[in-house]
Amino acid sequence: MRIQRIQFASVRSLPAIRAAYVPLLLLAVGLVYPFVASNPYLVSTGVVFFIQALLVASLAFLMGWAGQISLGHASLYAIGAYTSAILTARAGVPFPLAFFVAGALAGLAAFVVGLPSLRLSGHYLAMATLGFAEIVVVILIEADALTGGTNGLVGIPAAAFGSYVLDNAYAYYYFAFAVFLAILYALYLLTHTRLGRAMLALHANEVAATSLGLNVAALKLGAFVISGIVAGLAGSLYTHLNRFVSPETFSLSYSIILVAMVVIGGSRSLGGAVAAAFLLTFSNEYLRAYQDFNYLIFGLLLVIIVLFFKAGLAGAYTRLRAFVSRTARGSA
Amino acid sequence: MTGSDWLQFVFAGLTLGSIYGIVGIGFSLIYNATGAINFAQGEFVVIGAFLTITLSHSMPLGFAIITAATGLALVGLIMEFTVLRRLRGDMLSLIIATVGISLAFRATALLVWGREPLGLRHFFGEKPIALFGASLLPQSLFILALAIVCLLGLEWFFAKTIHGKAMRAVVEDEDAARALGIHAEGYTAFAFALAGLLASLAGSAVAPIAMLSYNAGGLLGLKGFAAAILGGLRKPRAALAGGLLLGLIEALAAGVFPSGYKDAIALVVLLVVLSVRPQGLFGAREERLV
Repeated sequence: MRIQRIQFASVRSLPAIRAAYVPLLLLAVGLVYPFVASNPYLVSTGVVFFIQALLVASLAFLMGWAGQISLGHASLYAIGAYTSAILTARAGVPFPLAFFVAGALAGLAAFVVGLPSLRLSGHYLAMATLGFAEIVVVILIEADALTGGTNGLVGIPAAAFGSYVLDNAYAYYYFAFAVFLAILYALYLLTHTRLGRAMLALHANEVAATSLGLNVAALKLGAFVISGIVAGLAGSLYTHLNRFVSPETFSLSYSIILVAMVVIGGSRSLGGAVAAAFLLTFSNEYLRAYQDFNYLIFGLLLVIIVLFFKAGLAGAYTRLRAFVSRTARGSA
Repeated sequence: MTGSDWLQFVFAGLTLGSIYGIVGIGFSLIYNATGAINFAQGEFVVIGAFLTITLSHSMPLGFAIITAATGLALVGLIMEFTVLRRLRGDMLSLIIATVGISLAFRATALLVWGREPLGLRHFFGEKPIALFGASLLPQSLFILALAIVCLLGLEWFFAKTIHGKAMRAVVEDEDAARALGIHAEGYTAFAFALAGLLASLAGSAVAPIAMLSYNAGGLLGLKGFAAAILGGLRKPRAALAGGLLLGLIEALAAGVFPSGYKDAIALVVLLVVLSVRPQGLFGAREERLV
């Protein structure tokens, strides 16, 4: 009887140990990757992955926890990218300052995007965010004295801290990796504390959340602002990776792709968001010739997941883990 | 600017406004039937236009238009039967599903018809009609007439026919309609077919005066939605009125602001109406819980 109980306890604690292993393993992979990747291009692709992971994770935070939808996330990414580009290329502002201003301005824009959410929900909010995103694209194209219009903005300097210039792919990779880890950890903490639970309550039932004394307006706006700041910082990372920005990167389709990635990842999972971003980066890189086809697949995938696999990749992982531990127990 | 210049802007505004209005009516129909917004509505318009263009190479234009419209009605039906029906009441999933469908349609348009914008020949020639010092293309006149015919047809259908009345009953109170023996699902599917049909007609009609590219659907859908929101989502009549008003605002603003900002104007109108009067200019206020 006693032995059985110990066995039971050890089986129960197994997933917890494994859960700690997975991030550590990924951390190791992230640190070693530049040495394994044979050329600077592949190292830069790693940075693209970090950027997309931050975008998907920040949108997942907004959709999965706060339950607010945004079809215009790419516009906040654009605001961050262009802020950083214009400040460093045209005004000579040092990179660290431009990086934080990019995040702050995108956060401010997200506050504006979030304002309608206080009165609107669901479809109306989705359309409002879509409209906002389209306005941003129009401004990027039309205000060409500032943004370079459809031709985009060139002459963006490499990221630098004082005299230390991150002008090779490896240095920039580790900087981006550090940013990625810090932000992801911050999002993890946010979602696993009082705030995260309050947001979940808001998601589940707004009326009930209000009657529990939660400040619904502040929660919603806070979620928008946080996701906007992250998107803005990701935009700055993108600008100084690519050293060139143009409006087509931030199209409506990209916003929709980001929503698709959140759904594919399983909207209430940061790990799922990162996995989905990996899928997106991989498919853009290795299936580039089929990019048009990719959009068709992603579109159909969205429909299929919504119909049959609501929990996305994260749900599939949970099921797989349950299956493995079940069979392991069965064979033991 | 002279009076005839302004009149020219008014004509341009009414033409585009009619298109927004027809797309807006599609939004209104589906919203009333299901409480959902069809984010693929703009893509319906583009696919309808492209189908018409392709078909017009091998059959008379009139047949091409009708065939394309029938095709899009079928697409609407299939979409409702296979996807949206299973997600009723689940707002977030409905949004994501129709957004996914819009992405898939856009990709399909790109794969089948390519990147280059496509146009169609004018239905009744390109000889402008002079009117009070301004000129009006026969195609513009046709678009206006189409919008009015669509609206009158729908009004007649909802007011006079038994199926129209049943559909209104479903919109009013689905459970009560069911209790009366009305087959609610059938009417929901029918609303989607009708929305597909209208979108395709709008696409065919606008293709001669505006070249459409595969990704034009996003903006067209947004503006159609803006039209419906401006007038009021609840009534097709209000959606069309909203479309005409939006077209006028856009055209007149194009005379004042740099033309590149034209697209942004309709969207600013959308955001303002959404935040000030979401029920639309002609809509009744909807109560909400908190």
